Amino acid sequence: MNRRGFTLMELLVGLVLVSAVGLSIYQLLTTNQRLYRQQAERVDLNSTLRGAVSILPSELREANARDSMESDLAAISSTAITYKAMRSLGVLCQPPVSAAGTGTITLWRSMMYGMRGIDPTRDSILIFAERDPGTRLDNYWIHANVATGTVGTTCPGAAPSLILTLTNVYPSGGLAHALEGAPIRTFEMVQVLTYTDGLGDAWLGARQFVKGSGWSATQPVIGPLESGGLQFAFFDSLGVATTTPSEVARIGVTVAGMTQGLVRRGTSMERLVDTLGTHVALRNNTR
Amino acid sequence: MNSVRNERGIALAMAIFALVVIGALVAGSFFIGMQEQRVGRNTIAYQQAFSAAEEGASQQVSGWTTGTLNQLPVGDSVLFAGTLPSNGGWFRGSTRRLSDLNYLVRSEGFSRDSASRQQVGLLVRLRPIQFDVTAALKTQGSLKIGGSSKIDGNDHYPPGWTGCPALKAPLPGIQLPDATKIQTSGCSALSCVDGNPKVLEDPSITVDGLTTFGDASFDDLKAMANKFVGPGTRKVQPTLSGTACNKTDVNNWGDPLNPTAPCGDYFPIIWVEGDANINGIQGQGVLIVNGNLDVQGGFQFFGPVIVRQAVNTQGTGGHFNGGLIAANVNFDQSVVLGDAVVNYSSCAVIKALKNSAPGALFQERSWVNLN
Repeated sequence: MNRRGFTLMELLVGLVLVSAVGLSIYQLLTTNQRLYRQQAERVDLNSTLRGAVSILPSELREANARDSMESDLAAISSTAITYKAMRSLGVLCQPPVSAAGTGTITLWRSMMYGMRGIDPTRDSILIFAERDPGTRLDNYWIHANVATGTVGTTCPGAAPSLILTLTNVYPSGGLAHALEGAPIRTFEMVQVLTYTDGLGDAWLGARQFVKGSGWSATQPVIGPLESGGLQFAFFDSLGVATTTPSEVARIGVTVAGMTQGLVRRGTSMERLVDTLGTHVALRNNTR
Repeated sequence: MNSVRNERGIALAMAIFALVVIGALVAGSFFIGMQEQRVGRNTIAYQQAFSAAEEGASQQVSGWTTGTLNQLPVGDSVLFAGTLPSNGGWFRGSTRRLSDLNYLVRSEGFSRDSASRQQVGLLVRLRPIQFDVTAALKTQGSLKIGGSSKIDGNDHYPPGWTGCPALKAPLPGIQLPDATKIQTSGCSALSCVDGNPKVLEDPSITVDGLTTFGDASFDDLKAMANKFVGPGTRKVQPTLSGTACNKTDVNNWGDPLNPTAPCGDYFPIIWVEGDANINGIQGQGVLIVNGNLDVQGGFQFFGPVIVRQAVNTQGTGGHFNGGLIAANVNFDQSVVLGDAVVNYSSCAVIKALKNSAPGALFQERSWVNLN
């Protein structure tokens, strides 16, 4: 009496019902997985774009394209930019010792600020110069190469110091105008350009100039980008497009990024693409 | 009972499975949404911190406190802190004197929740008015002198002032384009004038030369002024707000006769729009009059005085210690009679110019990213 079982009909109905429910769940899962992947790719893409348009302005806004000695923008084009990227700020603790085209400066070690220390293999230096203390119109920044850097205790009061020997001082006798307490900036030459990886994808790339060996290999910074997805535009103080570095007052940066993976859109699989642009005013241009 | 116990099915298992699947889907969507929200929140926090740092730095320059910062010893710092309106973030930082003229303003900005921090710097240089004193009294119009007045090109220390540089070589008492334009009244053979020489005839003096100061035109001086005074008669003297110098009082131009008093280190740049009639008592700094200057009551001023038109001081008139320029664009006659005194004082000029100089951003490379 208690040995119950299913009839064939019950079994068939059960199987059909289970299949229908299973199929629905499978469809729900795959649809959701697709949406999830699409959203994740979209989030990645947004991050790529945000990153690209925040990295570049933070460096470019410190440039002085109109420096009377030499523009901070060494080369500009619609696809690449070569510029002096500021790396640190310091202060002279005593007047420089200068000779023709060379010299030695001593900095307070307690007053070094910036993203990293001084690297003589890559860095050059700008030193604030004061010709006539009665006016600020003739102030300028001396350009020089940092040859060596050593630490000591040669600042007033035997305070910790950073001693830099300089070569290629420009203008040659400029160090005579650098006084105790003058600020200095160190910089390295950086080029931002498109980098293409082994799969043929474009990336926002960057490379640094290393003294003696030239440009380093280009490193991918952020991406991937669409082909031609890194564009620069340059404008003068009147908002007119220019190709002359010393006239640049504003830089437009446009980044067209794409997702790393393929995403289903309708019946096809493709990469999502989006574009973000920003404009950077050069804050340190000579006024 | 047995029949009920034996009614088995898969409804519960299916329901649990469905719940797990739905839960996973919801959690996935929630995770993506949260990630986007976090990124957005971080971006806002970054912008808040950056804006706060920028605001902190620019506030120090736009509200340059000459009384504190210009007298800061080299190497010392003054701290500052504040919040943005609507609780949009906060900042703190320091203004450090790097040299006689240069300062570094370092400002750390924080987002409202203090989760994000940004640091920027501004390089600032004092911008003193370039006032080259070449005589005790320099004018291009006609001049009437006499009575018991005294114009002296020898360098003088202001009484009671400390920290003055060494006395400089004597300057001419009077410098003007045409010496025949001097009328004397009781000052025979220019006995009331002293200096080396007493009178320097300088045909090169022009209105432009007398109203341009280095890189600043006469109008630029107005932008540099920090005390604006209307025309009319006024008595000038130091006043206090509690125990502190009351710098908001338009008739308080410092306390040169009591250098250690609360207003002793207050050196305003005073711009008088129109004709000024000053009836006592004392002041210091840089006095710029865009009109005529009439002085009575033994008024004593320490620092450079620049008058666009003519100076008139008679009776118990003015005592000017520093250097006096009457640009005299309308060629009215300047009158220095009675007990008036015009003394050259390099110390008064240097102290007034240095202590009154506003801070200005470097001409280039003033902005520094300190992150």
